[in-house]
Amino acid sequence: MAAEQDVEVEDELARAQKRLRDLKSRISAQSKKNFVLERDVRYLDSRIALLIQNRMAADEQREVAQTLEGEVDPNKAGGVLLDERKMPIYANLFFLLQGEPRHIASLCRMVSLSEIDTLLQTVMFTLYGNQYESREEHLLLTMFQSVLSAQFEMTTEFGSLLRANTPVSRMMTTYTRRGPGQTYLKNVMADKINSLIEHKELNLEINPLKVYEQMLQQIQDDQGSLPEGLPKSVPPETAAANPDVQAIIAPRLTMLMDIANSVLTTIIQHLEMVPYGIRWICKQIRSLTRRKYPDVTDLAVCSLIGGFFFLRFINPAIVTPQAYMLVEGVPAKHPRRTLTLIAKMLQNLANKPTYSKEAYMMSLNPFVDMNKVRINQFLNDLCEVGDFYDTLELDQYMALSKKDLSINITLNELFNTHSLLMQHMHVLSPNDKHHLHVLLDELGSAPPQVPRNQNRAIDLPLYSRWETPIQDITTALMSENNVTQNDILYMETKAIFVHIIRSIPQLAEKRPINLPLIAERAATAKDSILVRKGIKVKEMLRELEELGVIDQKDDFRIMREEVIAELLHLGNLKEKVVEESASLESVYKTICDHNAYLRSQLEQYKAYLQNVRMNSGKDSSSSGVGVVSVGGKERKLAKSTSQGPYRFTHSQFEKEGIIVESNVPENRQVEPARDFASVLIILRISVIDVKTSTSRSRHQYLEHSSLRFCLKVVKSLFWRWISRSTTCWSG
Amino acid sequence: MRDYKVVVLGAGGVGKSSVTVQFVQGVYVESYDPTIEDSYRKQIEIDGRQCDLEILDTAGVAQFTAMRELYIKSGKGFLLVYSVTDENSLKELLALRDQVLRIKDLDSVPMVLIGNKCDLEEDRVLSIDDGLQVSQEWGMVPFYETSAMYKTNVDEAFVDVVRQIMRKEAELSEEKKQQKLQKQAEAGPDAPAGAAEAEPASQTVAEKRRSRQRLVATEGHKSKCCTIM
Ligand SMILES: Nc1nc2c(ncn2[C@@H]2O[C@H](COP(=O)(O)OP(=O)(O)OP(=O)(O)O)[C@@H](O)[C@H]2O)c(=O)[nH]1
Ligand SMILES: [Mg+2]
Repeated sequence: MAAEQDVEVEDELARAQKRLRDLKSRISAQSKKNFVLERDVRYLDSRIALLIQNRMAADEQREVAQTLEGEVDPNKAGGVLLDERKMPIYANLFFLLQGEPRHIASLCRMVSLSEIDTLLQTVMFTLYGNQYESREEHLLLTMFQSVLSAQFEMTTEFGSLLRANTPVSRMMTTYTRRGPGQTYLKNVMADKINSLIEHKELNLEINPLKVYEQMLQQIQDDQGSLPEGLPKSVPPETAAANPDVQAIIAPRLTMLMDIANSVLTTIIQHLEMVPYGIRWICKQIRSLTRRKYPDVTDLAVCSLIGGFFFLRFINPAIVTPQAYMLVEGVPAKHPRRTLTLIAKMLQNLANKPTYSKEAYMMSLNPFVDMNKVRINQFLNDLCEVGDFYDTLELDQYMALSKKDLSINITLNELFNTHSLLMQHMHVLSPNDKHHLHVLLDELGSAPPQVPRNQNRAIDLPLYSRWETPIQDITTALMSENNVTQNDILYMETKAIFVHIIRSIPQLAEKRPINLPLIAERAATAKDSILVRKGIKVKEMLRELEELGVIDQKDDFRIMREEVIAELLHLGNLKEKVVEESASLESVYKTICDHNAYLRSQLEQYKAYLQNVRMNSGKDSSSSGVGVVSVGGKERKLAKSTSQGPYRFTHSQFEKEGIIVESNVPENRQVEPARDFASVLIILRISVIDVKTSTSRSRHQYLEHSSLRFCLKVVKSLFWRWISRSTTCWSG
Repeated sequence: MRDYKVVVLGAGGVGKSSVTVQFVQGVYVESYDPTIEDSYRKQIEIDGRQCDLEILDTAGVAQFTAMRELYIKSGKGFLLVYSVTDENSLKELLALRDQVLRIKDLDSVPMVLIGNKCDLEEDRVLSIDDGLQVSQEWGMVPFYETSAMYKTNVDEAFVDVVRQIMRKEAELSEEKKQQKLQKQAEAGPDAPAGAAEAEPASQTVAEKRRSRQRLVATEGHKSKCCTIM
């Protein structure tokens, strides 16, 4: 329990750990904000056209206006009062949902695709919203596993496993974008992609037809006319056979393969940076496949893992890096095509199709042949991670001792989850004695969704009426009668020594360390806490010796060694904590940047709407556009905000990255856009379907190392619970 | 010869690529290889006219949908594909069609609805009526049940969408002529011709265009929609 007392110790490690904890909770909170903002932007993106054409029903208009309004109005937020008597029931309900992931897992399989996004938001960002907390992460993964295995049960054809757009695939996307992805993609892929898109003019098209057309275009531009014998439209074979086309393509093929090779090498070299959760999902895919299809070839398993790792995680980021915050703005046309080709090559490599649908892709087969062995090895290595069941059990156990278990949840999340549970109660919990059933009965029907500006977030403390909280882990361990008084004493003594040395590091400079001396120095220190500890530990050392656990003859060798080992571990821990903080700082910055970007998008929508209204006001009142009200009341445009009025031109939109490609003739692009319908055709609000963000990796285990000390104890405890054996624990 | 850009849209694994490859190359691909973005060419003769078809086969996998908007912009006609063995795949099409109409800013766009894998009778969860109903809700968008495996209705669906594009282009060029005449009449002798040109299309013209297109789609349905089991 050495590290449990970190709060008290004021050394560098403790400070670094505190910084890290703060950072993590900020990232968790911020990534949830982004998720919600992204949904708003997507919603507006899909609604704005209808709104402007005034084809929208009144209540939906209100919804749009509210979305534009953004933040919750704290004055109005009090408007909806929660029934206080229901709070403890909700607290118990969410304790149950969090601790028993199977309920949510079943729910995910039953809700419709239109309901799943909201549910996943609640699950990934609220119920298991502490993205850096191993217990919540592991519970989330457990839920995953049960949805995954259900999918395996249901799927009849091997070929369609994990492929269609199902709740599972939505879940996998949301998960990969939660942030493990964030850090990984940012750290591993961003540089590569950025260096590629710098070369705006680099054309690596290898489709002979396109190359042929581009070539003709070039000739025409240069010479003003087409030479004899080069028809404008030819069949693919003719284009491919053209020597000039071949001469253009040949070096491009080499270049593409070089690029793809280096991307692949980067990915393989950074195996260890792939987030634990993603690797663990790969592992589940492998083991579920092998269990369901015992005769399956290793190749087929690899293609399934690749189908997840490359198709759903890596390739989307390569094809649309702007959606993953890896690059700023949408890449230009040529680099975009290059990125697509690279993704297609990786996809071919991971899936190894027997038939090349596009004939020209066959010229890239050397890439596949060269890397076959490498990729299979990599995909198998991906699966080589440990399970977490033992630590999860410990975490669950520890959770019971926590008094401050709580989630931050919005009213609508609360009511929506409640309502979904009610809808499916008969399947989730048919038996009216079941805890879930009991709670839902007590809650009754779910309240309706509240208006956006009243949708405040509340801190819901979690508790369970069916489980007694553990006051003190030591007593709990003892009461199980598995850990002896001696063991507890030993652990405590060690912990105090570690604490003292962390407070006065010079004490450990001389090796071997002298435990009685250290105790003495603490007992005579200035700091009264240290004095107390010093006196106490002297007594404990004596007691342990009396009990025969340690021996003064060898200068308490066992204890000495363990204290040193612990210190060593803590030393490494500090480096790792600092390292991790640095990496997370950059993640946090990215997330904040993205947040600013999303807000600016919302602002653009607002400004755009105002622009529309102002112009339509000038036109006539008949167009109906001016009816749109923002924030529930008609706003006078003149004094609405400091930002209006707006006039957008095509080039402005292009500069902002709103227009990516347009069919508007050059001569009209300088015109301020006055016809809103036509603007909409060209208006491409950069769609971000980034679902989420945050990061997790191996480090979650580091955090855990603080508990390593008693892990050994508790692990054996659980084994005992499971096997009901009566053997005694023996250090 | 004219270029016809056709885009194939639909959820993952419904058979967009299989249908496309069957149409273009006459081959059925048994193994599943999720698409990122494939493009094909095919020359066919329709109603005595030589057409150069460019077909864009898109990703159904949700993660790539950020690219959809660009595809839709570039396309003239659309094949919206679902699988009769996957209920959700039809639901997803509802949103997809909205997206197409929104980006095109039109009430009707050359389009066919395709219920694929109709050979898998045992796994079928969507009936012909389910498809027909959606087709009706969409204003009689031509509906085909297809099987990429047995090449059932594959050519028919592609030809249908090309015919719709042809018809629409004829409509549009006719309309342009009318518009020009009308503009000239409205502008009168005093206004410079350039100003009239730059003026955005008025609402009435847009309205007219819309109702006409609806007509075209209905006609297309009457003449061509065939559902073969
Ligand atoms: N029985 C049967 N199977 C089909 C049919 N069409 C496609 N399939 C199978 O369904 C699977 C998926 O087909 P694809 O054509 O790759 O699906 P897709 O829509 O292109 O998928 P994405 O590219 O991921 O969006 C393949 O294994 C095909 O063999 C069909 O008409 N009948
Ligand atoms: Mg495909």
